Amino acid sequence: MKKSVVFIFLVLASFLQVSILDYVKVFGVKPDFLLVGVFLVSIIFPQKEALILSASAGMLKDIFTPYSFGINTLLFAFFSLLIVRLGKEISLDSNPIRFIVLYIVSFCNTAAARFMFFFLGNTVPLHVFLRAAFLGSLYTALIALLVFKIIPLSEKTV
Amino acid sequence: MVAKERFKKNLEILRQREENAKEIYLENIRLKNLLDFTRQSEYKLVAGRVIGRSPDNWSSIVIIDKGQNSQIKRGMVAITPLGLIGRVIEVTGSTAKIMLINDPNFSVSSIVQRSRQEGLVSGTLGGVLMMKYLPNEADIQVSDIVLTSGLTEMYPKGLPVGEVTEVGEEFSGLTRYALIKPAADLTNCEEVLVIIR
Repeated sequence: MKKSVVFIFLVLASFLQVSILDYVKVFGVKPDFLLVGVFLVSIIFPQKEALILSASAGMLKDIFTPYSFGINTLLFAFFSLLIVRLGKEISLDSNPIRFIVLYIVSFCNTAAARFMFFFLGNTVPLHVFLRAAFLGSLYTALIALLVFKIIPLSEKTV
Repeated sequence: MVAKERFKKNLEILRQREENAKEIYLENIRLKNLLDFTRQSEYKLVAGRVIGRSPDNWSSIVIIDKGQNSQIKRGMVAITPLGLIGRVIEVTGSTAKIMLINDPNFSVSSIVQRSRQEGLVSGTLGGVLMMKYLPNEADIQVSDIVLTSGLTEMYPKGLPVGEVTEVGEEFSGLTRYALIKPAADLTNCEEVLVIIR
């Protein structure tokens, strides 16, 4: 049941990310629903499935992102692995901890993507990066709290 | 009781049909405007419907449902009846990605219609564009119309870019800048036209 709900969320997140989210921008940034999806699958699914689903989510994002095919696939898979490993070290059961972890993951994801963009010769202005990194990550983490209320997470399904 | 239920259901169906009809009517008006514009335009245009938008926070792109099969190529200019909207950056057989004019990587050489003052218009990712590197004595004021200058090879001369909403001085004090409200509606564009010749 939980697995199917998360899977539906991931598909829905892809559609939301490239459609109506542009209309709910706050200070020019929108939340990354797909990253929230990656966080969810990393908590709920076993490592192998989480990796496959996260890479698929990254691929979906890459399809719609200019000049960067592969970047999000790699980053999402990497961060999924990181969350799975982190989940084995510390408890990710409480919402404040999930909020903090997701904020850090989102921030690192933004920073890593900018770094890769830079080496691909596609510069992102510093003010745009800072806005996306600080506000975008906050927005993503806040939206995730709402998602956690809709999809209650307690223990890993194996 | 049954009749009341049936009446409620019928009412709901009629409401839904009315909504659909309204949507079709609005789409009809938009497409009619596009068709009129295409007929009057000196360019050969291909109309595409917006089917997706940029998923991240640092680019402003739209994806349209026309691509190489409709003769669209990388670098071609996209417009709406209101003005310049962007340029094609990636093409597949049936889709094309268009970088909008408010993307931070977008810039086009432009000219102020009234004073013929030239400047470089760039995207800020927000709702306004910025005309940069204007000399202090530049003749530019609020409400001036900005057009493409034709100096950037791929953009035809005279396409409306936007209207000046603010003129200010750069932090260094050496040059000035102007904020421009785009002529085309970038947030709500549903159809775009690509200039193929």
